Amino acid sequence: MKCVRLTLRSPPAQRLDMSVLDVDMLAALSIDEIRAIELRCGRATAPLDSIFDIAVSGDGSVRLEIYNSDAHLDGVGHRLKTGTVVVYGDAGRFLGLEMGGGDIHVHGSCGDWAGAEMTAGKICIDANVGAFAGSARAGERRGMRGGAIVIRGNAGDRVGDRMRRGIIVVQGNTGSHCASRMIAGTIAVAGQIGPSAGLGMRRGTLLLAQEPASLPCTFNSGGLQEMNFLRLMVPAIDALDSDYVWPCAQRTRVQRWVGDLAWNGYGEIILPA
Amino acid sequence: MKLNGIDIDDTFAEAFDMSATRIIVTALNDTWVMHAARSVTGFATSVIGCGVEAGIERTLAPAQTPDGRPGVAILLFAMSRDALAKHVEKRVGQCVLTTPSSAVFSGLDGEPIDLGRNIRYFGDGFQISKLIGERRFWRIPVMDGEFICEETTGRVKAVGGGNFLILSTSLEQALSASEAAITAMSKLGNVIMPFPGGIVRSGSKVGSKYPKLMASTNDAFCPTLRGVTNSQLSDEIRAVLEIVVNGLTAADIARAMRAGIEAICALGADAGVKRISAGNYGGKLGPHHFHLREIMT
Repeated sequence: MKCVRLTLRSPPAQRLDMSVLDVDMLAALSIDEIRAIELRCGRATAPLDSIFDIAVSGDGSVRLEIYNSDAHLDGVGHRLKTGTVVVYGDAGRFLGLEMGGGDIHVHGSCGDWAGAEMTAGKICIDANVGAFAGSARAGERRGMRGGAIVIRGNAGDRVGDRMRRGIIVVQGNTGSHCASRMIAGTIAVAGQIGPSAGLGMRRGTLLLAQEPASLPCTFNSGGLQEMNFLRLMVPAIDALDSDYVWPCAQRTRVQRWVGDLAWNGYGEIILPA
Repeated sequence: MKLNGIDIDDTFAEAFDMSATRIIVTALNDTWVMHAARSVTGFATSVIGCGVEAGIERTLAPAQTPDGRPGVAILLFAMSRDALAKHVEKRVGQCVLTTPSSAVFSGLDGEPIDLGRNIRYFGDGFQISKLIGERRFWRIPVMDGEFICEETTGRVKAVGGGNFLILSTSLEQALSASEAAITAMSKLGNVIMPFPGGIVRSGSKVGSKYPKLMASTNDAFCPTLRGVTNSQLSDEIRAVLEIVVNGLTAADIARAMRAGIEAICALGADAGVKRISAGNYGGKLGPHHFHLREIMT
């Protein structure tokens, strides 16, 4: 394994665009070539080694480690396909944007659009995330289309907006409009959800471990039901190495709400009975 | 060659290539798993008339099934990929979908063939897809809740038609010995014995005096035809039964045949079985030849 260690010397004054740091490409670059990679910081560009201390060791598939990381570092793990990215500290916006494989682990919080439009791989965030986790960027029609996002803290608004496939696990609370305009996939929330959950939901599953304060009036109760697919889904969530606990792991009797009927939707919000 | 006083003929069983898949059927409890399993493996003794050969491979404890409920592993064999896909879909649609509380999953890695891909349309647009890892499942609303079925199952090349004949001095003794063989063979994985109780009394030869028939009675082993045809039976033989075995590999079949013959020979010649033979067609039908004496040494 080729380990590339970047240690941020000081927090950047402007936002730092890390998306040019193609992790899969790093495997073929020498240390000098890595040092010379130009990053955009605000309106200017600067070589990587003017911002980070760089150490490279080993060979093969890439493990990128970023130390002293800061919330100004946008686009970490952009279009990641095979490697591993570990962030010690916070990350900025667009973490794992359009990611197609590999693993990202953030030992801190990150900004908006974490895992937006990702298609495969796994993102694990130990603290909180901003808005639009697993969502589509403005103007895009489809959000997350595969893979998994595990959020060990709280998530902001619009988790899984326009999500098409994959799993998002939130161990804390979410902001408003969780699963808004969701097309398919699964979002599991252990904490409380904000208002307007599932607004515009077409399909997909919002799995809630706690009774929500409110649900949109455009969701109809399906009553108590036996949902045997939870026998498959709950172990799949457990396998993501999250601490999410479905309160009825051995039981499949749930309260099911269906909507968003204002959108002729057939999504489901599932609560333990 | 004699084993415990029983003659092992110097002959071979002739088997041929097939396509196979394994499906796992689960349900609320053992009773309903077996209802589903018996239904889906019914009328599946021979490809000649049934299109597919199927059987229960083994029962599965809840910890061994994808949804943590009691289950069975079922093997299905057909002569081609397309025939297998067609019959798997028909049988799952008519026999598993209809069984209360049931679900069905792929039990084999291999070339994907449809399992629930088309059955999902029974949901009339209310069906829900769930992609978990690399596996897609369909949730089809039915009157007892949801029928869960995996979209595809895996197909592999397999071997069908392994066999051996049990030649006995009475039908009762032949059946008793055959049952002992089936008990031993059923403990092995990757094989099924597709006939009723695993045993067939109407062994066949290729062809017939009637041109439209592709198979007809194996007259050389029919006791009532002794003296009429070119019989292979001595006077003391009054009943012959056959055990046909299909397996995922030739090695699986050989292992099962050995286990079955050993179980019969363990009873001794006094139990009525005098000879073990095998059905072949001169080596012209199938590429897999299971020589009895090689298997038993």
